[in-house]
Amino acid sequence: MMFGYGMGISPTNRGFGGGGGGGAYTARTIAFAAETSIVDTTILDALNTLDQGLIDNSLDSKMVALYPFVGGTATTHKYNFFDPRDLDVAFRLAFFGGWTHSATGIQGNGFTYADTFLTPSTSLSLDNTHASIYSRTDNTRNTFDVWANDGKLVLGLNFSGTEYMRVNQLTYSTKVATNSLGLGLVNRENSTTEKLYRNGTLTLTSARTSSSLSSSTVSLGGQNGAGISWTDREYSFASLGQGMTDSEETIFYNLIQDFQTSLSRQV
Amino acid sequence: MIAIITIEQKDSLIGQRFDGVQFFNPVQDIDNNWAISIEEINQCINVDFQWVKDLTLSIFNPPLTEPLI
Repeated sequence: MMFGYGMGISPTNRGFGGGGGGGAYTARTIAFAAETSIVDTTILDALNTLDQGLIDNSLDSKMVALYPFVGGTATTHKYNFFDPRDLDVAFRLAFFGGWTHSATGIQGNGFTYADTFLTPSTSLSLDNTHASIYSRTDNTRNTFDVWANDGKLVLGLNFSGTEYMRVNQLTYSTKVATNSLGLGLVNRENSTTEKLYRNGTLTLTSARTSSSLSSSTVSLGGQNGAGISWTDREYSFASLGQGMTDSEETIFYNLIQDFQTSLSRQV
Repeated sequence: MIAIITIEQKDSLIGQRFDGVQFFNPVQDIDNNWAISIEEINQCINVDFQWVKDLTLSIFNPPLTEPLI
């Protein structure tokens, strides 16, 4: 598939003389480059390798929104790699508060969150959901990192010393948090069990029956409420989509960690 | 650091972009004063809201939080 953005790159001609894996850029990489005007081949090669890895492992079909936070500006960071249109319906982020944007990601300041415009009840499936986020900051805060406003989808990497999980129901599952670094992922692939992973390792399995999908949009960096504040962590990746098996989650983590390493921002 | 703003100023900022992309996000402190962050002020290039550059900066005193149930 060829995208007609006039960027001078195509799946068969990178157009930048870039190195990387030596293959052609995927259609998604080309579309993302066109929309963001990113021409840095280190970034594009990293995105392309990530996308090709998702494709090769049949994980691309599980992604609804994927935020790679590359390019270093609010404008480049707002786009969903899987639908890089500047539209709410494409789940393009809206940043609220004074985020600091850099090559390493989006840095909150305690007054910040980002609305994905993704409503689980219309875009995700009750017994087939994941949410992930990659934090470069290790701290303890009263904040959730992924949060649907009615509380039915929650990922907290380190909320006052505790990791929190909810996937399509309203009872928290928790464990002691050791830090807030790296890739956290909450997952449901059936009606009876939720799973929490950190950096490719299954850290919590909880018997929680699904009840219903959130009818509120999902935010990154939390949402203000009783006992809850906004984030001051730096994030360098996030995703929302279908659930994964344990082995798929391991592959997914390795792809994300390789992506971060290729951009010299891994933790 | 933050700057205290009036309710009228808060109302004027909600839904507005400070840099063409990002939205102001006024928050309340422990005394229910409204405030915006220094990052919003420093990044503000919206010509309609350059008055935020003249606000006085102070330390933020967050609202008390309650343990999660």
